[in-house]
Amino acid sequence: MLWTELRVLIVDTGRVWWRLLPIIVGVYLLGWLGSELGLRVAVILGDISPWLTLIMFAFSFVCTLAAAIVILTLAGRELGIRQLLPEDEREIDDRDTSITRLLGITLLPFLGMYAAFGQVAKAAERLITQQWIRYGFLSNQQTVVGALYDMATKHLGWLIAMLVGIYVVRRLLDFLAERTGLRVLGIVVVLIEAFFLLLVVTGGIRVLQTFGVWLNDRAVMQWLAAIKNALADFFAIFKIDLPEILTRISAFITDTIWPVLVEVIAQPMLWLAVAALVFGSRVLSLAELWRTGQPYAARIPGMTVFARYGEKRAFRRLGSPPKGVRLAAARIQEAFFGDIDDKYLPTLHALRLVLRAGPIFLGAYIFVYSLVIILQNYLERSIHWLVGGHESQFWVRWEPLSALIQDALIEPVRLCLLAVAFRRCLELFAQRSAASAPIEIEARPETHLPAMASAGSGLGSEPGS
Amino acid sequence: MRMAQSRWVGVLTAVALLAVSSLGLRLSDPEEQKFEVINGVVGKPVKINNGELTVTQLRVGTILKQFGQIQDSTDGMFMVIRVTGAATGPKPLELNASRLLSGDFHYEGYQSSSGVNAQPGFETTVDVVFEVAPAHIDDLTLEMGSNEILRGYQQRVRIQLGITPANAEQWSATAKGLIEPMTATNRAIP
Repeated sequence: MLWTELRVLIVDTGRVWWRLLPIIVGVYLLGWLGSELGLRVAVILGDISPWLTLIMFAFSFVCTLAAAIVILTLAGRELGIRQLLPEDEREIDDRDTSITRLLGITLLPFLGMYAAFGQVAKAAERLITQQWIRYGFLSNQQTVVGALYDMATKHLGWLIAMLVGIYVVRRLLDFLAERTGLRVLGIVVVLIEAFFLLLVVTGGIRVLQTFGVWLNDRAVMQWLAAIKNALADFFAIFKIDLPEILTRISAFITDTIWPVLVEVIAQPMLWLAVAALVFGSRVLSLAELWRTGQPYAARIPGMTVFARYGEKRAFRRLGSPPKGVRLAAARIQEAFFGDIDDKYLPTLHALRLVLRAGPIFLGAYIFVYSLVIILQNYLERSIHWLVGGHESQFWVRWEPLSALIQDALIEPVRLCLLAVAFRRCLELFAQRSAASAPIEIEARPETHLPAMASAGSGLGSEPGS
Repeated sequence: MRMAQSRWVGVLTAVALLAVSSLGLRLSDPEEQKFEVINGVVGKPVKINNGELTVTQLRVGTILKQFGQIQDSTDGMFMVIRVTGAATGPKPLELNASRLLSGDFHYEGYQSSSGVNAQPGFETTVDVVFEVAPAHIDDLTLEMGSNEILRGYQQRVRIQLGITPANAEQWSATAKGLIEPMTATNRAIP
């Protein structure tokens, strides 16, 4: 029922947020403080080198990310998400005990989300603004943007070599961190990964722009223009204004369809998928099995897409373990593809997983997620209304505070909603599994959620209905 | 059959929720409200950050004369708006961007510099020139603000020039002959 889904999402989010309010706002403020300090230091480091600025900028992102992950973990714990696992399968995942490991696993998808939905660009804009204020618009001091532009346009080979080098160093440190268990190494790995990703995102944009300019100068673009003109002339015979029709279609797609796809559908769905990664591969594997209607008892280690790399390899392996050259090849393959398998693919699989929760749940989730964003929008409008219009100098000084007021109130609510929505997904999958093959499912512990909207999230209703 | 029906109901409900969400996001988008609008009328000073702005005169013509010689002529009409900016606060008044609005029609300033700037304690009077289409001048409004590179929620003054659908034709009819904007004058605020 739609009403049930809306009630579960709204009431449970409100309750979790209220119960955890002091701690999650505290964690958020710590993350914000680290991020703001990081940004300020990044600007100052620009006096020495733009690359140091980028490294510190990466640190500022890691602070934001770490706060988000801790809040998601706290909300997940409050909701008893891991308690949904049967007792004998409740093996501790290393992401439960190590925040650096959890950061390492989730950094890519989180940063990817920040980049895809403009938050990296927004933060980069702030960095550039601060650098402009420090050096002036016409200064000779090289900024991050200038350094990346030079690298992407004049020394593309160096940029690629640098990316490969950073990746190799990161994998090496990753390996050492796993072997030695040194947490410091874990933190270094996370920072390197953040720097690597920011370099890919910010430098990649410049490379794409350069490619676009290069492509526009090619003869093939002239041929395409000639074909377009010939087609327009042909359709003009039938009194059809093809360029006008194409312009209208393109305007409809860019102004109407695209914003709905990106802001209304993709954003909440991808955030839910990324948040799901925080709760661990065991939880995701369980959800995958429930989704397909398989009883959990049928689980074989390594059979699900969320299984850990080692388990998957063991599951797939036929015959005796490889030796000699085959062993070396397997190790190299593991070194590179293990990373993709461990960090990149689970995001896609998590997205696939949450998309199967049923149209009513997804509709209700998107609606409640949009409500949170609408609330944030009106909060921003209220601040503008209260403060009034001012010149840009005023906003450069006070914008961080204005953003903090909005984010400190809304971001924890959004993160709590993600945790609640994911738990609801699990419950819907469990219902589906129970309906197809009755098994004993350990319900979430009442000690954690005595007053939650249990009627709505009970196991009796039809999944996705 | 019942299962398929229920699935369709689910999909339609989800689509309806998407539509409502999309509408809500669109209506609440802060980008739709990029600046604070301060409305005013001709002849009365409008208070803004760092000072006051007053529109005192509106003239129309078809031939533009500047610096003692004919600069340009138009099939439409030139509109010369006399604006006084007074920097009453401790900071300079910088309203260096102006345009005319009439429904969906927006007219940018005819000259590259079409604003008014004044130093603290001073007031500057300038004639801002626009070239407009006589058929699209209903409810013509002058909009002035600062042209800043950095983003932020800023102020813009909008002053209705008193051209209504009822008197628009009269304005078009009077737009004939030479028009000469004055050069900027600067004086201390009395």
